[in-house]
Amino acid sequence: MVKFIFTFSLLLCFLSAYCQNINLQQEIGLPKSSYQLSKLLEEITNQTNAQFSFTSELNINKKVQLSDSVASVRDILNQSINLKNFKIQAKGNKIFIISIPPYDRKYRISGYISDAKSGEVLINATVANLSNFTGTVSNNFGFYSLSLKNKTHLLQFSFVGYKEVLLDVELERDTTINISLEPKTILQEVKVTANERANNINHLFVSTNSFQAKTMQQTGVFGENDLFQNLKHLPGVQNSNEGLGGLNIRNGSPDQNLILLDDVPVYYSSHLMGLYSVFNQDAINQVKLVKGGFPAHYGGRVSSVLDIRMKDGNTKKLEGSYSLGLLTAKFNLNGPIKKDKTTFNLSIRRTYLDLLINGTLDLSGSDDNIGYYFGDLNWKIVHRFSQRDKLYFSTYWGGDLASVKSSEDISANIREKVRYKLGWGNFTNSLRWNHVYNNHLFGNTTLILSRYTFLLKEKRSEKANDSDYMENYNHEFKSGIRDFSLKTEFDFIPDYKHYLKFGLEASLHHTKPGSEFIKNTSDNNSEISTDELIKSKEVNLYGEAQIRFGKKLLVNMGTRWSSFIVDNTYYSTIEPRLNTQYFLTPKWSFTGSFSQMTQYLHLVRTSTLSLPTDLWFPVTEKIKPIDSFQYTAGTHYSFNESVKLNIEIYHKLSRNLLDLKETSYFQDVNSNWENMVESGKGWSKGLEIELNKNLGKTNGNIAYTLSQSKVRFKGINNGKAYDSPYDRRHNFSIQINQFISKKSKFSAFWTYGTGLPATLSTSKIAAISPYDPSSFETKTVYTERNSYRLPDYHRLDLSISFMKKKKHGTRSWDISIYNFYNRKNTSYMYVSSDNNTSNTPKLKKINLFSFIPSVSYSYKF
Amino acid sequence: MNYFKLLTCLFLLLLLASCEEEEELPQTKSDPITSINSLIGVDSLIKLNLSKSIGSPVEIQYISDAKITAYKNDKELGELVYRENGTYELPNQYMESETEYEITITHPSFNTITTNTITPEKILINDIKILNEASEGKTTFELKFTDDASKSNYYMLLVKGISNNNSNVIQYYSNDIVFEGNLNVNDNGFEQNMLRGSRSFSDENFESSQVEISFYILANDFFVDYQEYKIELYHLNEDYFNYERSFVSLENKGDIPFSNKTNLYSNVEGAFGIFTSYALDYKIVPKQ
Repeated sequence: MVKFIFTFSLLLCFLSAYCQNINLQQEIGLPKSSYQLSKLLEEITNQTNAQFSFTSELNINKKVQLSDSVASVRDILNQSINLKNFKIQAKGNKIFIISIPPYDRKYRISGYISDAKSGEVLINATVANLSNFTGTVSNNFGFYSLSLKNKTHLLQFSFVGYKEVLLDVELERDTTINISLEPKTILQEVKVTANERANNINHLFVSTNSFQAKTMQQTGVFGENDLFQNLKHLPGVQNSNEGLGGLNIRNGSPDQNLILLDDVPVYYSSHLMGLYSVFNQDAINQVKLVKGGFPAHYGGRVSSVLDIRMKDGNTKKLEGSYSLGLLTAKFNLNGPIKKDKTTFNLSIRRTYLDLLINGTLDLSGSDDNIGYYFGDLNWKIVHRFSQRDKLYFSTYWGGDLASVKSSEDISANIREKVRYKLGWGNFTNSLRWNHVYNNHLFGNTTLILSRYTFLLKEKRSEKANDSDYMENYNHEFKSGIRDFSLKTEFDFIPDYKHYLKFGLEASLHHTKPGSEFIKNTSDNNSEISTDELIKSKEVNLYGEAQIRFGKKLLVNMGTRWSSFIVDNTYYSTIEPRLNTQYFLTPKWSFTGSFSQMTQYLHLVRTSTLSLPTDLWFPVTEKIKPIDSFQYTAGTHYSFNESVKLNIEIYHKLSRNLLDLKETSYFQDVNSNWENMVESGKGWSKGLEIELNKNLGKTNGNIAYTLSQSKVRFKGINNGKAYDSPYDRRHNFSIQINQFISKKSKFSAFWTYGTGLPATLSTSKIAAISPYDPSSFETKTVYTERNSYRLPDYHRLDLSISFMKKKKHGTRSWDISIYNFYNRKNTSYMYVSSDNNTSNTPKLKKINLFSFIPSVSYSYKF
Repeated sequence: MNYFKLLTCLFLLLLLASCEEEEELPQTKSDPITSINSLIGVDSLIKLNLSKSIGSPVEIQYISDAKITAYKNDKELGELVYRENGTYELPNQYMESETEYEITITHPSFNTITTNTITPEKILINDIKILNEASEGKTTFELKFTDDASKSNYYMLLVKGISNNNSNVIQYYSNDIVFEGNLNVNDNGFEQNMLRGSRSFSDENFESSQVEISFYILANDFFVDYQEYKIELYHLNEDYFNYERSFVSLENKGDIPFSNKTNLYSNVEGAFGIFTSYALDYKIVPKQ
């Protein structure tokens, strides 16, 4: 009560004083646009009767340029007086221009942090004020901004794997400083610095792993250094089948991962049916995986966010690389077009098995031709107009193409030529404009086009004797999804305690479940064409604030409002997000988070794998969006700059998950998909432990995940809960990289996982023939979903690299062995009576990828 | 060849590096499964077959001691009588068209099972023409019938070869849009490929109520010299249509790796199986 009376009295005093004050909002007209400050103050006095009081520090002789002829007194004074040095107060009919004591004046330092050798921006680099251990981090474009009082400060700019830069600054005005950090050579041992307290300032660790693409060590099948293989050594990340099937993060399905390439969503992220990711290491700068505690600027999928940033290209000099492996050939070239202004980065990757096969067939004089390849092209161009404006244009094209050509005599004088093509791929484009509005406000606006297409072509032509081939049959089938989006986002950094991010995303999704064209000259209905396009709109608004309370508590809270419109159906969701981190000591912190995510696009799967034939469909009136609610808690301990221990637990609830009905079959997936699926609930929980050392001669990481994941669908498994297809109870991996010398490096990776659930049929029932009601057959019946388990999974991969400096660059031989001890890991098992003399059904297990050695050569210049 | 096969080829490439192991089946985890089978034509006796799996993956046991009661438009018709090999029959009761029939099955070893069907009306074949293209070894038929455009209708077309009073279902082909995705010659699309060989179709692709379908048989497909062909047009209800398609789909799926594990279409509550009906019209045409 006492507090209330006191506050109320203060308010009354304030109001009474305010009533007597001159109104600073009063608008006045100014005949000129340019004044000497003393004359301007006189003009204001003449028009408002206000008396000015100021100290001699105010330079009243300076020239002042005004933008408007009519403006409020406050606006005029704000334009004329440096508010960093003076504050304006009105009392009675007096306006006081009070000098701020020098030690209280705040100035801002901002700029970009980049790699000193390549000029690539460094994302999440730390800027720390060592005098009071406050600071900030660079954003996704390498931009940082920090306000400091007017005195000498020792600033530390640091990033893992780079030499830190210490900078003595004494600011007298807002200043822009771009910082370049020198990468450490791998063999430099970790030095314990005296200012480790500065390392984690304003870094939130909740369920997030970030790394630079150049640190990727893990090779996959055939020695390809693949992004997804490198993610699988992180806790909570697994693949559903060996080498195949995409990424499963915290027991989510692959379609629940939001995969962003330079802000553009990528819908199908694998080549060769999930064996490789579509992301070429040469083109990538930095990768961030968020598994929980999602900040509000991410949304649209419920399991994870994989934010991949492409390289901008070297700003200093032209550089590149090429490599030749057993499966792929790669080429990269990047550098400045105009030094320190415009850069480019071009990366190309292609498999070449088809070229070898077809070359051999040609040599043997065969008309037949069969081939499969996948390829990627990444192109990025960045232009810096000024310190404040940057324009980025990035493109990714990648796809898989299988083709068969054959010809045969179909009668004595007619020869038929048949050509099949099957392809799928992504084409993504983003045009981004970065603008530093002022030293507090950074903006990024992006225009996005993303397209995923699945395509089938079949052509037949005939010729009689020596005449030319005439086409008599042409069939094309296409399905896919196309997105057009506009995204604008702002980073507002008022001071070191607050970091605000807010933005808007608007997207138009064009989903094509399948369009067909058939032209058959031998048929009366010579041309048939069907097409269907589902248009849907998505609008998202979000805002988040990262606030530092004292020196120990960091909180990121935000909300995302998402809305989706398709046909006459409208969905809208408010998604709250909260992340907290409490630093018990500078090295030891505790984290906690809650996040709600909503997904408006469903992937209807045509098999248990993640195949290119899977179709994306927007929500309908009957099929609702997936919602997930995830809670996490964890602790993080940094032994030093290099060695870190992370322990986290999570609990995730999901609604409106889809699974195929027990009796569904492929009838017309385009129009009838709603009736093929059943919606239900899922819940997962887990414990993740990760110990990693990322610097020094010996580095690597150890990860362990203990998890459980269940789902329940009313019409499946008699309505009882069952293990989700991605329920792997134990998952353990250890990766060690050892630099033997400056010229050679050895890596070993061992992983173990509990077998995944499998559905088997051990029963058959009598089934009547639909063509003869007196005849019966026996048919397999599945009564319990996922009630069996595949055998446990484990394997050891080894690789060794030999590097040598040459005249124009560095060459490297990489030798690797996948599955060194030839473990027969089961990818799939089924019940079969085939090839069985006793006709007794047996359990058959298919093992993929046993011992596979590979070698590759690469050259960097 | 179609794109599913291409995908399979790709997968086989991966399998080159793979191998297969064989083991004894694990102990079954499911209880015995009761199955009901009944496809009844209009003007036929009401009958069904009742059996159960007994845990072993190959053996099936007939159930002979169940109490099965039939109802017609919610009125009890009587109790079905057990004949042999799991078959029960309601004597002297013939199915009428456009009527609802319901069956309840009770037995001490399982909970009550219920299922029902609404019989369709007979659709008459208006005309059938036969064209012999001897040079190509091909016999083409043109079938005409009238579809009731006010309802969703489902059909099945069977061709039977008749020789010495025996008839056999024989393979036929068609480029007609009504069979889109069903038959071997015009299969396309992954989901439709699973339906190759299916002989059912819906009225979805009919251009008018006067339906004309062209289909053909190839002499090389069979060794018997059939003197006559029986063309059967089945008017199905939706359950029959779904059952036929799921039956074909399961056959085609076979042991394809990574295929989704789904069951035969069932319209029975409390068990697996089918209880549905059809109305049949046919014409016999001599070989030309």
